[in-house]
Amino acid sequence: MTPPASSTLRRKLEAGQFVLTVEMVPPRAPDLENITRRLQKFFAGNADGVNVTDCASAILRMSSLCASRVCIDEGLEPVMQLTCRDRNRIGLQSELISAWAMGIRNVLCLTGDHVRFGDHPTAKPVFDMDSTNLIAMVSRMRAEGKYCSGEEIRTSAKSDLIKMDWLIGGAANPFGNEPEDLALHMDKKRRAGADFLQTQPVYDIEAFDAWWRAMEARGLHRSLKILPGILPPKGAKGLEYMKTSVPGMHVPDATIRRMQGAADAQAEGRAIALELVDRLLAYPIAGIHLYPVMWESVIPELAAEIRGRAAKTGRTMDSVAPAGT
Amino acid sequence: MFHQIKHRGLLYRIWYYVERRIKELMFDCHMCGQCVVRSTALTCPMQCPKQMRNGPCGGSMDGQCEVFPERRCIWTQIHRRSRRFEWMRRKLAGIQPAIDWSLFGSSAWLNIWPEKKIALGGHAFTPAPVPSGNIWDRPDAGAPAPTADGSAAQSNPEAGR
Repeated sequence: MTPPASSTLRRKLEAGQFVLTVEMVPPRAPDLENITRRLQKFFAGNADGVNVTDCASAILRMSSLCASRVCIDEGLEPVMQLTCRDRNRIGLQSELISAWAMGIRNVLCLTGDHVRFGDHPTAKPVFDMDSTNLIAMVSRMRAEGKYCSGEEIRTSAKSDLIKMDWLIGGAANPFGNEPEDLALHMDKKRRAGADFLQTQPVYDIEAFDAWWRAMEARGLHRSLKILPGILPPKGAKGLEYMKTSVPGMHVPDATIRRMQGAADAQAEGRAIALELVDRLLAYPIAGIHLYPVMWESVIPELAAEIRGRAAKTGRTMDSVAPAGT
Repeated sequence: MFHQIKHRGLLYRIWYYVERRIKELMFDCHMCGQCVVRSTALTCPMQCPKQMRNGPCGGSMDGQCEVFPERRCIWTQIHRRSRRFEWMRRKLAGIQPAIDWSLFGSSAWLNIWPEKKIALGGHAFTPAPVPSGNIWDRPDAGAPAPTADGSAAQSNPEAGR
């Protein structure tokens, strides 16, 4: 499978098509077969973009770069997550040029979870720069063809300048702070060069609405492609755990009570997710970002439902190529 | 993190400790050697466990820090304080460049003068330019045509700060 010259996700976003990105967590062992199997079974034909996490929650896993390349081999489009937690600017740029050479065209720039929460809490957290600086660095590679040092990107002195045409993403947490302050930060990310935003899982539409209004006030709902996050809860316990132990998660008590009271928790989880999707589709969002945490088998059904509902609101979309094409 | 003070002479060290005591009392200073408190509502962003200089991380919830939940999030505090004065809010909108770690553990005051390593704002005299805006503003910005001579037309040195 030869990688595309530029991002298909970018083309879809540019054309105003509805996109569905799905998060994929690489395995905790050197096992490519595990990724291939999951991609073919759950992601192929469903995801416009496969978001490959970079040791999320500071838990050691296979690298995002490697798993993203497997996505390309399987005919899927990866969105490589890149965090500032484990690498300084040398490591980050090395990862970026490696990714570009391997055909990866989308990068999601994150600060990263602190090592304190992970499986190696005694490791040195790097945080050489923050996510806004990382976005600016990638954006400069794109616009000027220069590294962070100011050096031009060329194979040799006589060869052509290489401008890596990245599609740059950023993360947004619409909750937990004054919406206006959050929008100010997102405006910085936009100016630094972010093209799209993926948000933390949304459960509280009222809070999301306040954030959206603050984004609207700055015109950011137009100048950034926003993909709100949806995390279908599999059970009440998992949801409670996320509320208390996962940083940046905002889950209203009403949602937890609803999951506790449900006879069939999984059916209820799907219903909650789809109700949220319906309400989010009322906003001019560019797509949905799905987090199938510990529940990848739900992707095909949920993806079809989300697409169907998006189509009902008049949104257009491409069919996603199945595996191995 | 190696503190630059460890390879300096006695006079520098004396100055450093005086400056450090003053700034610790005022800002809970970390002696990053490139003070930007004027751009961050007179509040030191280095108190953030992730050393975020542009805004809160995604884990900041209800004013509390993600890493140490018993601590307040310094970025919530910076934003709150910035509401007091219009100039604070205005300065906060600027993008802070990545930290110069080669200055960490040195005197920011001496770095401004006489060492002239940083400008008054706490940044390098010629910080790396931030290309302004994304591809939706400038569809040509990321055009993949790698031509050496046509590159000047596309570069946009307009810094965000």
